[in-house]
Amino acid sequence: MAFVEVNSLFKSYDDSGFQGKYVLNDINFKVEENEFFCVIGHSGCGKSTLLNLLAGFIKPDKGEIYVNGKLVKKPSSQQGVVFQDHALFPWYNVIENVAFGPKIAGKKDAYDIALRLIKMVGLEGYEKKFPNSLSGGMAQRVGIARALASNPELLLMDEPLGALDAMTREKMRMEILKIWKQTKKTVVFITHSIAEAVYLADRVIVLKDGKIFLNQKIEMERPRQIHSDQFLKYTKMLEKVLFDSEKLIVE
Amino acid sequence: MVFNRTAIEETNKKFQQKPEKSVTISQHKKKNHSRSAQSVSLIGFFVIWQVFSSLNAYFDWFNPQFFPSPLIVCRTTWGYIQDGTLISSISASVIRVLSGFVLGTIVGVFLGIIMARSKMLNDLINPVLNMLGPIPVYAFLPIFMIWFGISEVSKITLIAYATFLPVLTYTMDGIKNVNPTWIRSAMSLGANEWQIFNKVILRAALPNVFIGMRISLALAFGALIVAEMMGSSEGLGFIIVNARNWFKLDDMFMSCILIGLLYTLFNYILILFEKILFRWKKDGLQSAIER
Repeated sequence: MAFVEVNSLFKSYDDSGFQGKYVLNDINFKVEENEFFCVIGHSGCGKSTLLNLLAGFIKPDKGEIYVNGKLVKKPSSQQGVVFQDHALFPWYNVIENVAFGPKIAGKKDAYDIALRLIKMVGLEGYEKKFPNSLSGGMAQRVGIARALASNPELLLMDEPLGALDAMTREKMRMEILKIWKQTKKTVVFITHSIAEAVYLADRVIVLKDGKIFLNQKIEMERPRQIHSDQFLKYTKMLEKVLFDSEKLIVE
Repeated sequence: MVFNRTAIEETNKKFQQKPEKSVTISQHKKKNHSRSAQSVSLIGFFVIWQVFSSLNAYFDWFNPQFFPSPLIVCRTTWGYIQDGTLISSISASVIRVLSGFVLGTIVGVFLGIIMARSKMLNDLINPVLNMLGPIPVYAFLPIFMIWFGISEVSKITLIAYATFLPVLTYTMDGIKNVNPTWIRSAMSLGANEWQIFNKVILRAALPNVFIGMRISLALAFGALIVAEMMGSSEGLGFIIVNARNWFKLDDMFMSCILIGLLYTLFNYILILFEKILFRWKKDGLQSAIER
């Protein structure tokens, strides 16, 4: 059994139960352990719904999600989430935010764990700052550190770079890869940027109108060169699926 | 309410101090400027008052007893200090307003939490509150006096009642408007229901509770004075009614000014609490607080 298994998942927000109104329509995929898995799609394609289902925030109409063999029923510290707007607690400073998870779990060394992670995301010296005084990129690093602090089996990232400027995004991409390699977590990463998906992912699925249109392994050595032929090949492939809607829907 | 708005503006200003060096100098200047303007306004107020009542005393436009000068008010105050009534009056009023305010705040926060958590209770209690809310609290005083007697209990109850409604409303509002992603993130970090409530919802709603408290403070003072005017033998409100019987306008003026000073002091203490509790907001660069 794969590390994450999603079996014939259906979800609709329409209470009338009218068929064909599904936000997610028969979604099936598997994520291997330690895999960097990207979900890409236009806004409104259901990718955030998919993440909320994986995190256990909402419940599917039909189908199951298994993480490490266990059925996902509700949110737990096993599925760490990094939110687009970082969702840090503004009344806690950086270290209290990161230590939140371990402290709740009753760990005595919560602050040591937090310090180690703050160091890993490169925010040493900012421990006592409040989130409001951090820049977007810095706040998102704290968000990642906070999600990692409870040592989740699966790290879910909901467009974590979506709110950042282009330059910070690029830096954060490398940072995320570095963190992923260090922590050996399984990552499900939601994005609407094709380049980001090709740069980061081991495997990409393209979500469109609630269905998976492509499930593609990206076989490239890291660090990936954005201007290499292979990179462009993958980019074009994803673009084609994302933008040539009519043809593929007919198929 | 009216004084309260200025108080809120003041905290807004205080929270918005920016730490950048480049702007500090000009801002410092501006701050000094505004501070001197503010003191000029206060001093000017008393000077004009003094000049006008002196002129009146000289030209005898109307009976000067009806408009005592600040100096006469000061002299009266000194008399009150000497015979000890000033201290006993102020402490009587302070004890009343404090106990009523604290009681009302506790009940308001407690009910607010319960009503925000339970849809059922909210449905049960809210219509009653909506009906009672618009009735001026002062209308209840005679009822309270018959129920609880002309005692401290009826006064404190009135003050507590005046305090409790805004605190309740703002507490509920704060709890209902907690950012849902904060709750989600706490859930995904493994927090249970109680931890989410205690560490996220309450913390997020606390600034709102304080807004409610500051609005209530003005109402509590109103209730205090009315209660003291209607049935008591000491306190600042009592000084006013008592002075009325003897045409002692200087005593009334003194009492009014003392009420204003006391309110300002209490409000300042609340602002101080906010500054300490909500340091995290001060850290914000731009908008700081949205109220």
